Amino acid sequence: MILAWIHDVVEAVQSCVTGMRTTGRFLVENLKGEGGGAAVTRQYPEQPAEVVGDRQRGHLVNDTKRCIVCHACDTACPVDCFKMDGERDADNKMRASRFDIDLSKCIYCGLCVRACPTDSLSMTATFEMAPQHDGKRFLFRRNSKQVDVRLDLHDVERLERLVAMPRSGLSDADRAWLDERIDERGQHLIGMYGLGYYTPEMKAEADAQREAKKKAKDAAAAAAKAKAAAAAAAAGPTPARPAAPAPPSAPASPAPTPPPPAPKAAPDTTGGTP
Amino acid sequence: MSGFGYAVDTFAAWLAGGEPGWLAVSVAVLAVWVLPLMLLVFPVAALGQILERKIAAAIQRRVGPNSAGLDGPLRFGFRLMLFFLPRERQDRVFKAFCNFPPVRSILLVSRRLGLGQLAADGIKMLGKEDIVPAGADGMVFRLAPYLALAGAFLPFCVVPFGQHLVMLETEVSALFAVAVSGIVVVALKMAGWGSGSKWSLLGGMRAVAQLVSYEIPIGLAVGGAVLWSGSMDLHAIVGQQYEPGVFSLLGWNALQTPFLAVLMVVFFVAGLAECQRSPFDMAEAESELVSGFNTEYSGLRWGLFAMAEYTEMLLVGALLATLFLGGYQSPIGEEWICSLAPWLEVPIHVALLGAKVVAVYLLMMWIRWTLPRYRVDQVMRLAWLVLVPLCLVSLFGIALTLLAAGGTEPGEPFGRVAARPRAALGWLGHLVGWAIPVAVGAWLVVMAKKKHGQVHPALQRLTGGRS
Repeated sequence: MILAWIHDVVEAVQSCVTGMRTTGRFLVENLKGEGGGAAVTRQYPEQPAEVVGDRQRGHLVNDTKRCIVCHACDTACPVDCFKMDGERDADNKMRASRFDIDLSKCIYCGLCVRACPTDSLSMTATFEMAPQHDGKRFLFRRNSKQVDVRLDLHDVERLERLVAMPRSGLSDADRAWLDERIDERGQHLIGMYGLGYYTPEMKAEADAQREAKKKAKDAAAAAAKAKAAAAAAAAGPTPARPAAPAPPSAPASPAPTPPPPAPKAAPDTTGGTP
Repeated sequence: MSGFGYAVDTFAAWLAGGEPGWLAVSVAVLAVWVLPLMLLVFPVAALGQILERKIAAAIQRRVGPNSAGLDGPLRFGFRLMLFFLPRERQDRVFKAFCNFPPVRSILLVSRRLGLGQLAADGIKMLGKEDIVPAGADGMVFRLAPYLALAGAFLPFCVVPFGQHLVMLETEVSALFAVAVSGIVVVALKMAGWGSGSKWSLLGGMRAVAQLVSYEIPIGLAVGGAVLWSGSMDLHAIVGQQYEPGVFSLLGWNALQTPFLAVLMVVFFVAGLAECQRSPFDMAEAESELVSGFNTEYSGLRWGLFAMAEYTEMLLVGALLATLFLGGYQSPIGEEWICSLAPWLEVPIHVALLGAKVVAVYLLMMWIRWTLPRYRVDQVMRLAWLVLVPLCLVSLFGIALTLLAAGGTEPGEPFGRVAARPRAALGWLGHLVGWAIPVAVGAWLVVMAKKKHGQVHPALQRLTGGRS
């Protein structure tokens, strides 16, 4: 029995030492940065991520040259993220005059791509949608007042390529093309997938509208508060004084600004400039 | 009287302007001892969390925290200092300062080490809501983390940091350390019970069962060192390990007999269990109990529990070093260090103790990221069927060795202990004292291997035939 006990203890010590030796080797190799224990972490924002494969479901892109506005994608979409309008072009072919994909709804399931009869919808291998830490890549703003500057698939590719290149290495044409797509904050705003951006005038307009809305809301809140206070005073024990009339409620809501010009993107142009 | 006792008395007398009352003494103790001790212990405990994350990452082939540097706190500091300037000017000054080459490299290193993570975690913890669950026993729930931290911190006041650096000189400081750290048991039980949650309750029960069980091997291991040193005073135990000459480490308790070395290992394992560290972290087993007794805690209170855990690790390291590894003494040339001027000798001794503590600390982290968690019954079995018998055998062996050395006399209560079984044994006695137990042990191990082969049958049954 004593021997069995000793055997147990020796076994335990041996197995502990074996384990500790393994992790110790990893520890040393990791600190040295070489061998089997070296860190396998990819420092993502600094080191570009590897594309997973050609079946990666990254961005959803519509090639408006081929789109026939058949609504097959709309039907297939489980989250209803498409908004599209069509019009007849000179050849009496159906073309998209508006094709919006609400990326805040999209779940990247790829059903629309399967449903598309003309293969105009496709998913790219890129997946980096957030603004990057150097503030250069993308900025997405979703608003009903968006201007429909959109890029076709080859424009997206071009932009991706140009942004990745050092600026000094760009040709003049490329630089000009790129500059057209830089807003006042120095960010490339890509109108692809229906996510557009404001022109400066439209931005001012939208800001003013938002401001007015906020003011109206504040005024309404103040009015409600005053009313409640008045009511409380009226309900008090000495209702001798008539409650002061509540201040006029919210100023007239600002006249709705005219909607943005209807999208007129011709099928094979890449949209206007800001 | 230790130097610090004198400092406390002087400061108290100065405060009171005459005979100091209890208030003046309390303030003096706080100012002279507790505050510096906290400033010494708590930052190390906090740094331990970064260290642990780095070590865990290294063992798991990761990088660990490597982005948060000292830039953030520094920028904050600049904002505060240059409050009178506009923000752009502040930033310009800050940038100029950061681009100064030495500063830049320091910031870079701090980022690679993730030092800013400390500030970030602290701020995050401060910002969290302090939640007391609806079914909780509020008072007990709120009190528990403070008690846990107190239980982990208080024993430091009897740990000798240097020749005259003991906060509390008592003749029973070894007993005091073991007894006071027992407060943690109560705190964990309070946390488990007061939370009003089944996870917390189960975790608290497990913690108490485990801690109470492991108090016994700890007590016995401390008892072994006390038996050998002939004193219960930690300061005297350290003093007794003093060895003149070059190789001071020959005087360390752990090298006196193999039994004391075994007791050191037992103390370490039981200390690991007392800290609730893996592989003994069944009280907060995530996969079973969410987080055990601290499931319901958030924000600063949770932080106090984490702090208590790391402080207790430091405590185990400090006690281990004090009892078995010569305390604050240097492994070589201790005699020479003692002859140095106090302003040089004190920091060296504190640093030496710190080095030993950090070594234990690192070993604990290494173990944590290596060994899987014990089951409840295995934890209990280890305490009662392995560690306690080991302790008893070792105590018996120590007693025999002492008898062979011609008995022991009670040592002097403070300072260097005169009665040394070490001196009585001589080098021949030491040789025999090592040779006999080691030979017997080796013979037993060989016999066990011969009889039970590679794997013990009970172990085979337990693992279903796999080794």
